Amino acid sequence: MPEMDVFRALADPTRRAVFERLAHEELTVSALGALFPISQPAISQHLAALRDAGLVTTRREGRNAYYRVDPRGLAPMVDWVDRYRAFWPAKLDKLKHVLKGMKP
Amino acid sequence: MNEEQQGPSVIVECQLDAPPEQVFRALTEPALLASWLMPNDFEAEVGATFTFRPEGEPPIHCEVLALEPGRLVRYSWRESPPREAPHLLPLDAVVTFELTPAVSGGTHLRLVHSGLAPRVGRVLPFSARASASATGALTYGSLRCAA
Repeated sequence: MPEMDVFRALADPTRRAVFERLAHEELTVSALGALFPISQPAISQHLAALRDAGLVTTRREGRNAYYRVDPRGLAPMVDWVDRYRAFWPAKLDKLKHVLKGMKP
Repeated sequence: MNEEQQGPSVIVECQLDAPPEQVFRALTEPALLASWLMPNDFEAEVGATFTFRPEGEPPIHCEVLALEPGRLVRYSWRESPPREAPHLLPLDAVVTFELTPAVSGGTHLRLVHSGLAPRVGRVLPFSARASASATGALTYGSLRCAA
């Protein structure tokens, strides 16, 4: 999958749980496997999806890959909504003024 | 581009003190539209592309998706990600203005800005990402191609 939005990546409850776990500490796939009642390949698949969405990063150390949350992945998630939640009401106020000045 | 996109949306509803036909003009005549929204070269034709040019910010590229005089205006809304989020792909959103006549003679406006989910390109190796943001040379287009 070439791209995946953050929203969709976190829509799956297991994936969200994995993500939340990684927010606490850096873990390997096998350490995560011990925490969740799903197979290791399934864990790996969730991690790949989270990585594609920019939500987690990997660090290699010897034979182990450690996963942790990439704070930059989640930070911009609220950005567009926040921006436009403020933007539109301000613009619509202006629209009301413009309508007042228009000839019907 | 789908019209009713999933994901986070902003919905604003309000009463306007003018009939739907007049509101429709304020939404579709470039000069009027510019006076409350942003400088633009809007063209009232389905399929027409136009650009909003907010002051001091990158342009927003749009395409008219639907037009029903006095009732509905819908366009796509493609915008560069904010500078602090260089790993995001451009926003591909849709804006819909829905007008309904109000009993008062005014208009009930329902605005839906949908598809506000940030999308992330395949994460580049850390060093590549750092150099990309340092030079600013790597465009989001090539990020998407590299994915």
